[in-house]
Amino acid sequence: MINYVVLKEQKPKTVRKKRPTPVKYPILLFFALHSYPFFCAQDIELQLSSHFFILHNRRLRRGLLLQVRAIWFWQSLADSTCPLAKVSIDPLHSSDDNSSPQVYALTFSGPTLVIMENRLKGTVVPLASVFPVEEAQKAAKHVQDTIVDRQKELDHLHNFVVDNNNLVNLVRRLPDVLTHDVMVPFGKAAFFSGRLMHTNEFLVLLGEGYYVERTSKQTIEILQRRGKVLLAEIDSLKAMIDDLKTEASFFDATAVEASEGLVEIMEDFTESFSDETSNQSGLLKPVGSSAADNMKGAMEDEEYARVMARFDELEKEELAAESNEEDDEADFTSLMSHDSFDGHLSDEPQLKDSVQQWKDRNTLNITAEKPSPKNSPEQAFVNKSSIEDLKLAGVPKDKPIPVEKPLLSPGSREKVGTANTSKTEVTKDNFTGRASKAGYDSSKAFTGSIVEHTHGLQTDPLDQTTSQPSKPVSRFKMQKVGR
Amino acid sequence: MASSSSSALRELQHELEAKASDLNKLQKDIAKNHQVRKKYTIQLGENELVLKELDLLNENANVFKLMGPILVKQDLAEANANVRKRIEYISAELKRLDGTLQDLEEKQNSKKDAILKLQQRIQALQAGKAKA
Repeated sequence: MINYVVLKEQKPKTVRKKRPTPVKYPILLFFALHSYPFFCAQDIELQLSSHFFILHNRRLRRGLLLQVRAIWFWQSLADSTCPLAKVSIDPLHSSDDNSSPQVYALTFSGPTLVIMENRLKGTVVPLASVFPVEEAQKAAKHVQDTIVDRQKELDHLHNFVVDNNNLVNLVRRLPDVLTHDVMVPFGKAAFFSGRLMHTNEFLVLLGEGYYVERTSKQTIEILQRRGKVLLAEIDSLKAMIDDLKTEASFFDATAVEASEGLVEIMEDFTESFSDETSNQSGLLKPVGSSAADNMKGAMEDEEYARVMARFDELEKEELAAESNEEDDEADFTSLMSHDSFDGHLSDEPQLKDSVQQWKDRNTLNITAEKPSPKNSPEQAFVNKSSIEDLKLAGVPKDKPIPVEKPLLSPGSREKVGTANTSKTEVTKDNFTGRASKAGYDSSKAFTGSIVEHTHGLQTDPLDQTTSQPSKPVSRFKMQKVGR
Repeated sequence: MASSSSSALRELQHELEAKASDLNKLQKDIAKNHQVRKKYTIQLGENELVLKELDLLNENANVFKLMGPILVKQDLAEANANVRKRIEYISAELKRLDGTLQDLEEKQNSKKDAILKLQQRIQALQAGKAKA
């Protein structure tokens, strides 16, 4: 039912520039492989004509499978060219008044493979066309056969080891007495009784027809060395089998996924990406350290860093493309930092706060605050040298917020700027809190909880300090309870 | 007209068969090469083991070499030198085999390409015939 909606690239820049107003409410959708309907906790006027952007896609399993991680849903005011007819948007909660925040579930139905233009970013093809199902299955079977073969070899080697150990024991025991009575093989079938005389003299075959006379002790040494060689061989064989097993499981998974109609996204590796990554890691570190004081050891999740790096890259592209939309960019930055793929949020009170604020803001419809909305987020975004910058930019802008004037023209949107600035503050907390959580489990993916984005403002500074997580509660659940 | 095209077709098919048999031969050679290589690698491993053991022996140890049905006593130094020489020889042989294997594979690939082209031509011819 749920399929990938893959939209590769942005609309041409020209189109976006033509827009009367820049994008105001970036909406973030997270979804993952086999995920549930995508949830979106943002905004009032979702439009089907919006543009989707892939923000990040992640290579899985030997770089062949790409998991599309996030889609950035831009609310577009102008265009309706995006072929998204197959998206249904249902409000999860029907609120009493229009002004309270709406939560939507976005359901992508049908085999929607929507490919927008691929501008130098890569190609998207159905996985089934790259790896036909039968081929994948065949390959899996082949690998299974090899595994069986190897297993047999392994058994063989194990037998050798056992033999060797027995021999060592025998050789060790032999010189205990001067003579042994034995049955000596004579020809193929006959034996006659005889006596082993020189119990401490061994003629050891070294291989290649070379024999050497050794005592019992020396023989044992030789045998033990051979045992070591055998063990090493067993180890390597085991490693090989493990390798083959992962390969087999990969092929199996590929077969399944190909039959399910996933898509393969191939992207060229670009230098800039690595640059971004290094930048990003440098950027992220201060965050982690600053988080350390209010949370227990913030974890530098590499995965997270990578995700962030990708986001950043796209952001920068956006930035370069449209210099007039920086506020959105900043908005987005904070959004990104705000959101974790975990899908569960631990900061319950804060959520409440933000929801409340959301409500406030919507009911009150603040238009009044205009603390130079554009500049500060822009700077914060552009500089990006450290989160400290963000903080500095965010904190002063926080000030005017309590001066909200109630009851202004409903639905007005001039508030974005302030929202952004304060959000940088808010989301930082969120981000640090999230980052310090045991982190994002790649296998877990997004489990269907709402990814929430606080557009709201922290009106009360006390709220901020007390809004530390008490117990982990899904934000989705939270909101439901809250209502 | 029809007869000429059919004769051309027959010719092509003959060619194809010849090429296919060539390819078969090549593949057999490659398989043989693999087998020989396997044998040599095993021998190399064995010789290296022997050399290790010989290195560990002290000088007055008695070393014998099995020559046919009899054990001949050998000098340790001599045995050592022999084994070393043998290892050298096997390594050289393995290298040579690698070279020939590469050669064979190249040939095989080119043959495969040729066969593919031939098949396409035959198909084209047959399609033309069907139309006509």
